[in-house]
Amino acid sequence: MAIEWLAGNRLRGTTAERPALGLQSPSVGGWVEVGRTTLSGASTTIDVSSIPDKRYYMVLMDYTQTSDFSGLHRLGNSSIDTGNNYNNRQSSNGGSDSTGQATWVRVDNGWQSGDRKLAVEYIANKSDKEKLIMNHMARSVTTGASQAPQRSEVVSKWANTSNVLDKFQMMNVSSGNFASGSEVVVLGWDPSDSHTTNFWEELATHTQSSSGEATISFTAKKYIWIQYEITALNPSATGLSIRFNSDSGSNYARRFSQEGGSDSTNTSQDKLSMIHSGGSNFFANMFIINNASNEKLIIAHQVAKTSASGGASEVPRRWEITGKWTNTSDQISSLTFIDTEQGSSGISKGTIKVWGAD
Amino acid sequence: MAWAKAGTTTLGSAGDDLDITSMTANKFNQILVNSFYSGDTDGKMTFNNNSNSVYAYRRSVDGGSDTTGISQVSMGWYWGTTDELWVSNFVSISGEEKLGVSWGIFSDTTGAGTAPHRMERTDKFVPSPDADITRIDRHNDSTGSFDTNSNISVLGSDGTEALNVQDGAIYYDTDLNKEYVLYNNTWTEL
Repeated sequence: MAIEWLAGNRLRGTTAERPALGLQSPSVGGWVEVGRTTLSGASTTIDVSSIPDKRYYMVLMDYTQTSDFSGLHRLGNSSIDTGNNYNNRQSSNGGSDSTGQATWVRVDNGWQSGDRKLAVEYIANKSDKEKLIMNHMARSVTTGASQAPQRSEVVSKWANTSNVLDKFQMMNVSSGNFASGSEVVVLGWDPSDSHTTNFWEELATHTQSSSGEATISFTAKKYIWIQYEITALNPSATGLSIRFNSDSGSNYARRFSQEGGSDSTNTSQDKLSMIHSGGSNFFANMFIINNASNEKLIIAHQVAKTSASGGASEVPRRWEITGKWTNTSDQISSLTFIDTEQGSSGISKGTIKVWGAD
Repeated sequence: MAWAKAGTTTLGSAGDDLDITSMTANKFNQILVNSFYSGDTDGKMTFNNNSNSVYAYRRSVDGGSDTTGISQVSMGWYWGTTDELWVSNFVSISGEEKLGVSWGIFSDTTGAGTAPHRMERTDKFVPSPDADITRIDRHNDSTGSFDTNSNISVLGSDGTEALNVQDGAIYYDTDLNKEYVLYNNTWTEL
């Protein structure tokens, strides 16, 4: 176990973990926050300036628009580049890619009244090279579990080969505003970094060593990052699913692509289904926007073995999933992994980690 | 535990190998690659310097139908003559197959007039005997080279967190069922 920090300057751990001389040498950390803007009122843009030079950025976008336009963004050095210096390749809801030169980077695929969106983006930032950008987006469309979420995947480039970026601007090319509370958080990481902090705080780790449901509880945060490796008891009939805060009501909806096929949707579900066919040893990467008063939006990508025996002579499986949990009163503070095909004993073992940040 | 740098390499000159030859083992790994081309470059990835037939993949290029491969000697993370960004998440738990989800973007011809390309992949690494991932090699076996300043970095989930324990802290030892107080860098049993 790791040392557990308790209230009142108290710690709890094993003899070996009792820190010698009170200190231990920390590792060089991962992603750190380098910029953030949260709107205190409606605005046509969300601007993040004075971004320090980092080789890699992770950008979190949590936003709502007040009228019909697509969320876009631009980059800049000293000033935002409004020229025709971008090119995008986008797939909307698993459809065929579309491409085009533009004056912006595309982020989402449209708007409906009440729509909320979460996008996670990565950028490579070398001064004398084109800036390469990839993002994934989930949107609620309209509120309620009877409405499946939508998703978008975009790769883009900013053809600036003379400067690094130091400005990020969410914007639109139509009328309308980003609603109050919309936010852009820019994280950075550079090979030369020496910081020992992290934006992403580890909230909990769960190790499952016997068959059963797997539950992990943690302190709620606004942004949640989850990775899990879970082994199903019966790979030929697995229904790996997740419930938030033990909610078994019909409050979940999802959109997914399996093995790159056309998107399918499920609405008014009593869990977020991560698979509805065979597989074993699931590994997933998942992000959640976790505001208490809004629907929770999920972006997940998952791989799995097909059979228990596995091996390199067996092709891995692949899922792309967006989901929503329609609770608008609580933050997610626990995950319960269940196997709806095998019942309460369906998960034989696994490791789940949850990181978060406000 | 915390996300931490597990390893990084930046090329000081053009070359065929963009490797992290010794990195900390972690259960969860995020691999970041930003590589540049000098001529045709086919960046083939291996873990632990293992070029046996221990890899399998499923991938989609530009949103097209998935293609697959089994018993591969490397993972084909490349497009050819183009700059690239890869973001990959790989699990490496002892006794289990190493599974990864990865996305790549490729600039293609320089300039905003040419759209980038993309690749989505899932990969398996099944070493025999089993081994945690402690080395990553990206080797170019085509006619060109990775250009100067190409970088590969790995963040791992099992880093050591900074502790800032101050005098007066109380430590409960779960092995000994005892409590200690810290004063002047010494833990004294209560």
